[in-house]
Amino acid sequence: MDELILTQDEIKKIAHDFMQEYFAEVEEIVGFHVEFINENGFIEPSVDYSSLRVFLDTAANDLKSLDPGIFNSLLIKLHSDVASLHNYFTKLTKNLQISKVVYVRDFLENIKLFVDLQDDMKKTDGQKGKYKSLMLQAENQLEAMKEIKTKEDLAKQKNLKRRYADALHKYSECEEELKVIRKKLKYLEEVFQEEFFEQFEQYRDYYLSVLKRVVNVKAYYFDKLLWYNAKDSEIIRKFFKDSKIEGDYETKTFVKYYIRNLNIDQTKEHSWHAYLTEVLRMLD
Amino acid sequence: MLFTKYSTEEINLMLEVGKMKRFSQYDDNQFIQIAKKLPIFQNLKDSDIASIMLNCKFLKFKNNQLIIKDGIVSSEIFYLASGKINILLGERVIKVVEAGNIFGLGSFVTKEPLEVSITSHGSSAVMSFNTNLQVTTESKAYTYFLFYKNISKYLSSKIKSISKSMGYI
Repeated sequence: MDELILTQDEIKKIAHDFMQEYFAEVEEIVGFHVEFINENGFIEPSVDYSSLRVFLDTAANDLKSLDPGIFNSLLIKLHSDVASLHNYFTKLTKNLQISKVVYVRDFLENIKLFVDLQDDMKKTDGQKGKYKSLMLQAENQLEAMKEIKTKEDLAKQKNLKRRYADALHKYSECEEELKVIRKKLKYLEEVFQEEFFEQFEQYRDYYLSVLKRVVNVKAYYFDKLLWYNAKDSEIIRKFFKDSKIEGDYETKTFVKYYIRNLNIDQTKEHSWHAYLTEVLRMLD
Repeated sequence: MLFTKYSTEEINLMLEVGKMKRFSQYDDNQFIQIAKKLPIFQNLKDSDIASIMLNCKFLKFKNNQLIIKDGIVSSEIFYLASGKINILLGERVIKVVEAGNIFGLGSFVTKEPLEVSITSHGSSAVMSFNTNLQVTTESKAYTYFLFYKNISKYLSSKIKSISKSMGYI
């Protein structure tokens, strides 16, 4: 295999097969949820609920501490569903962030040809090392034989020189082979790059956007169900009344209540205030 | 937990609650406050009214604009929130109805085509309720039972009032 050349079709196929396998898990997850959403006619909200999630969790915890009874089995299930999906989305976003790492660590390392060449390189490099040490050994022995006194010494010297020459020859052969292997590895590293990154970005952007929409839909229903349950709670109604919270039983009202009670002079509450103001702007 | 499954009842509840939000974007409180004053919503909680009102439309009409055409079988009943309406037999106005009344019950009761048309007398605002309510949960079944019961009571009182005015009672 002196010359390694892949056709564009082969490159595309190898990259495509990798994407199919690499994104198989997320495909299964989004497939399951998209089917569920579409089959049942769930609404996709216009508000980005993934940005509201921090507040939504805070609100849920606060309402739960006021009246744990509002967390019925469905709300618990939905809460856990949203959390799992959101965590998966965060983990996936992080894993897919540096495409170069995915390219080297996951893609190239999974191409048989590339792996075989790496194995060959290791093996050849090992042999090269072995011949190097044989050369050194012969060199040292020759150096130790300062004076040739007998026929046996001469024969031994000849033998050592022959061994040295053989080792040198093999060593050079290994070096040549390593050059070829490195060239092939470099070729493989470069030949897939363009196709890989083009396909990878398409797959990544697609799955992350669909997954984000799935999280958004589930978070939307969690939000609605949370307040649907909350507004039937006498404890929460009383809390609203006692706290002089005016407005509907919904996240927007609760955000306003939080903002009202913040002390923005305190540094730690400053960023929280900025976040809540942004949340309120999104809900308006 | 990445493949959470929901029962039909849970899905239906989520859908209902989700739609309520969509409805509230159009100011559901305002709708509910109006609806609460109507006899057909007596003894119903706000959340029950809200779920019935998922099937409600708020419509505005200009002068002489057709609201209901004769000959149709309607599953809707209407509440005149503001303005007046004309009830026409052919092209003749047989009655002008003031705001605060419910109309369109004829076709709802008999399931036969309406014999009259209704147009707006000046500008009017009408709330239309679809009575083809789908029962998705046990609690909704009770809500709809109360709603239909209220409609029956309203109709009985209307018949009683008409009979009285005609001297039958």
